[in-house]
Amino acid sequence: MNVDLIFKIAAIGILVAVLNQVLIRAGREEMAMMTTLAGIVVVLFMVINLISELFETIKTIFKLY
Amino acid sequence: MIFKIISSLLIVTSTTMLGFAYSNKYRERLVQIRQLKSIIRDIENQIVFFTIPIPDVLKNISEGNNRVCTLFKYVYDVMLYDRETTPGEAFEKALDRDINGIFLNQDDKEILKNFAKLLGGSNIDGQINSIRMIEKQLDNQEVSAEQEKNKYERMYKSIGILSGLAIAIVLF
Repeated sequence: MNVDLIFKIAAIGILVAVLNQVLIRAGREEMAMMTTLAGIVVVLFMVINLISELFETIKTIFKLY
Repeated sequence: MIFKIISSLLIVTSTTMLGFAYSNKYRERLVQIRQLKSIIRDIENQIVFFTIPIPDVLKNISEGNNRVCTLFKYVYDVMLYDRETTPGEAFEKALDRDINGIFLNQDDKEILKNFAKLLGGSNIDGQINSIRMIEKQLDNQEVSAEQEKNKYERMYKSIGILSGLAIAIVLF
């Protein structure tokens, strides 16, 4: 089990949160939303392998293939 | 491992520098608007009290050593090169050229162009009036530049640092 990934996601979360606050303080709400979305997409790409692995496991457990 | 750390540091420093360069634009614009104001006051003095002809005024101004003075040097060069050009046309040509180190935005340049069109077009009283008008417009620009600076200077700095960190973490 790779724990690094969790820390990586946590760091990205913190950075995106701070960036969001900075942009909102500067009156750029639309840009703040875009950065949040970008952060979500990046994290999603990071965990997509694990999700597919999970689905495969479920499939094999219940013999759905 | 060490290679990874060095390259992440490189990424962070480069984006930080980019952020600082962007924020510098706002500070420089404010400084240059102030310089422009003092230059215009100088032009007014030279026209009203010394009644110096416009090309000589431009020459005197262009001998100053700040960034905005280089702009006036371009104008003077244009006028020197082609004796037929009016100050308005000369300013138009000089301002449309992208001069390195001039951070005035399009509105500021438009004001300067309008000023140049009125320059040398009437007697001293008329020119004083147009200079007063330009000074008022530049005051407004200064206020808006200051507001923009307060708003965006810190934002660009933090965006530079934070985006660098984000890229480094994603790539790590």
